[in-house]
Amino acid sequence: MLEIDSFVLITMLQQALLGISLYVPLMSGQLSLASPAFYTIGGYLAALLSSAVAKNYLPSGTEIYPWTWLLVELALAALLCFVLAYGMGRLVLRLRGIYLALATLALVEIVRVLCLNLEWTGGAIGIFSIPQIYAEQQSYLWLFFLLFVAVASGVVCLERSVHGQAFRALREDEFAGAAMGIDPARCKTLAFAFGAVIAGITGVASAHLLNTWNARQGNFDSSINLLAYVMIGGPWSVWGGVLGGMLLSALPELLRPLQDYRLVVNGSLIVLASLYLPKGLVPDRFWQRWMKDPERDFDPLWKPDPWNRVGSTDATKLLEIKALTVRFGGLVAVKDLQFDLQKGEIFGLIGPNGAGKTTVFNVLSGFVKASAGQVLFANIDITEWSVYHRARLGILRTFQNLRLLRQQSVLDNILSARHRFVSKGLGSLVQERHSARKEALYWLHFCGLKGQARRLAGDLNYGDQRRLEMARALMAHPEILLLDEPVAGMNLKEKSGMQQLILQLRDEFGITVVLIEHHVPLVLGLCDRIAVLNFGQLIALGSPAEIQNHPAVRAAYLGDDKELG
Amino acid sequence: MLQTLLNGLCIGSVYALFALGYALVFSLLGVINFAQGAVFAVGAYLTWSLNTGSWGGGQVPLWETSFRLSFGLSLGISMLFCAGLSAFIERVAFEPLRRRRAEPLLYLVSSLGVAILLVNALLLIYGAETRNFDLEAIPFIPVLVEWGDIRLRGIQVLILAVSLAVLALLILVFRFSLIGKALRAVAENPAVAGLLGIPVQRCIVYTFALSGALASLAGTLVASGFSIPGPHFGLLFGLKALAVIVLGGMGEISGAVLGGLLLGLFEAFVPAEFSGYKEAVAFTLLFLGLMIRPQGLLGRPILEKL
Repeated sequence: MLEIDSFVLITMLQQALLGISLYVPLMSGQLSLASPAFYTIGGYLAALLSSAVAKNYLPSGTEIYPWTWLLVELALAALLCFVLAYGMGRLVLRLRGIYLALATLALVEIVRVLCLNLEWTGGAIGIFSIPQIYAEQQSYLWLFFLLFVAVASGVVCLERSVHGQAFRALREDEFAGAAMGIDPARCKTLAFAFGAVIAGITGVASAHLLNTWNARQGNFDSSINLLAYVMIGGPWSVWGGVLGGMLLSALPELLRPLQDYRLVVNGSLIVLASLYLPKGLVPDRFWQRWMKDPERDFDPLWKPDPWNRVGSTDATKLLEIKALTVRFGGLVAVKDLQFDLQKGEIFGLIGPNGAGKTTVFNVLSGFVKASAGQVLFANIDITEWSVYHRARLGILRTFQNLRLLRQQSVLDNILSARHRFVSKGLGSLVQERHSARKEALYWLHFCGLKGQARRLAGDLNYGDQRRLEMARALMAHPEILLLDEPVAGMNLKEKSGMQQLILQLRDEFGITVVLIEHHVPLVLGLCDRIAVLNFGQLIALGSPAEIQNHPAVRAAYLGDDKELG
Repeated sequence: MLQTLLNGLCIGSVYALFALGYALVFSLLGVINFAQGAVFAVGAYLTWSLNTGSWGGGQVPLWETSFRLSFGLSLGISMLFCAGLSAFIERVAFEPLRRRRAEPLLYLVSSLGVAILLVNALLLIYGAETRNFDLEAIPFIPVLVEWGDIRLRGIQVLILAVSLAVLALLILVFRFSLIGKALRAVAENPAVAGLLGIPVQRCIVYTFALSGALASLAGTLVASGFSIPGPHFGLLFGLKALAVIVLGGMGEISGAVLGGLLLGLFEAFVPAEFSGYKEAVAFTLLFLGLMIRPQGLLGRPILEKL
């Protein structure tokens, strides 16, 4: 039997904590390697503060540093790291993927060189004889154990909460997340800051444990180790980082017979793991398979109340587009477009390929900035509003090219759109999920996705994926629903089903629908009014009957009379 | 002034040489080969051993032989060896992932694993002591070149000349030869390049081999100009090279050259009283560069399609 002494256990817990600190930003899709920098900062804070306290406030000869001061240090380190990371987050997090990894790696090295050269960090020697909390070193196991339990359970709560859902949505598709009302900048900054806080408090505890602190504590190597923990353990849940951290930090002890070769073996194991364990030890959706079928909670008698966020504006104009022009470089995609939407109407937007229909949707949902003109929603000028802001206001869309969270279940896809209802306080971490699930299941059935709740969105057939996009948008309670080719790729029966669905949305829930569609019978049969675009300009606007006989429309679709001969 | 400029250009040209290997691999595969830094160290140690005839010194006892090769020949063998090593790394740590279409992060992890493995293997063999080249033994190179007020060590002149010559040659090859065209096609779209009859896999292996040879050359030049402070210096230089390619624009060949020279100059102009902060120059540049111009000096902006 292997003898594992308490120091090994402490190291395992410490590395597991650092693994979590790398995992938390990764939850929202950011590979940040900055943890060692915040770990160093937390450690220096503890070292400097506790030395000063011991010198000035404690009676001389006190051997054991009091707990209360440790708590103060933890709180201060958490605060400091949060503020630093939050400030930095806004800057750094515009970067993605490998660029973010490099920027944060640079941060680690900058902090290291600074600490190495500054006067008050003790230079290359560092800070010595940091006061001890326990008389014996193995007692630190308790401190690390408590920290670990607190942090791990906090992160598990976060994972399960609506914020965790938002993080995962952003990780998979930032655009889709924003279109569902998730604020990408805020979520990413928060995730980054949470990671920093975890690293910072681990630094505090480690400074006391090690008794000495210097700039070597956090460097390039430690960043890389943390990355290896999370990638080998599995980047999908907190347990991946924990398991990876514990295993890889215990490995040198298990390999003690190979003492001299252990780092070589460590390197080989990392290579082997990335080659043969691509999903990590704890794969994605590891726990899901033991979950009961969520559709058992479906209540066929319940349905959500109609919502009305606009209030009873006497003006029937829900949305006004005024002199809208969009230019991409020299290309004018939309020119001087002007129309408005009545509340509760179904409005069709048609035109030949390249007429600028999707560009209009992109402007309405905020993905593309208008070059000139205005967009008013219930008399509010929203021309400059961001995507998620508009989604929260009630302008929701589906995408022509489908932007589902393909690696997540159908139910989770729908749930990802509930972000707009969430309170901002701490309560949102433990908020009851039951009512949200109930509603998600309602929309799932409403859109004809019965029995699919647990399947991966990416595994659905094309028609179901379109229906899922719609269910997801409905979950966010749209005032205006922008449907981009809702029946593309569907057969006749499915098309008429979709037609019924859209009518039902208007009649039962009062949703205003704008749809882009090439299938002319559907548009003519469904819409109250139709706008026809050609080369970015409005060439006709009116009832289906008017549009059908409009000469300009016929010319645009079929060519001039002259050409027809 | 001119003196500092030349010192900066000298080290900068080595950075450029080394960074070019990263840029080539990145332009082709869109991934970063961290093992490059370790290959740099392997190259430096191998040249040193061949040139001085001493092997080992870590866990392996020091073994002095009378078998000594000239500096140029040692360098050549070391470059060949590192080219093979780099191609081998491609085979074991990259090719399997590529076949599986793994996410780019995994390449990072697997190449880091290789780097850890190689550096620690070097540590086992050579230990962490500083090694110096016997500069006297290099023929045709004067110890000191004086020209007016400017004094350069002979080895610096050699470094500058070799680096600039190799850089110029490579840029010409990439710009004008058929191989350069093929590489650019593979970088743009491997699948289409394959359809056009370009041997994609061979292109990738050759690129890795070339980057390995460049790493060995850069490692040897740095080691002979200064010293080998231990196997970890490869990783540090690797990080600096990353800073260089980010600065110049990831995957841009001329960007890597420009970034390398700039980094060398910036470092050279750090005042002596702040020399402790010299190490941070590369990372500060990297950080600021990413903040201000994420696509790098010569890179094209990254567009995201909705």
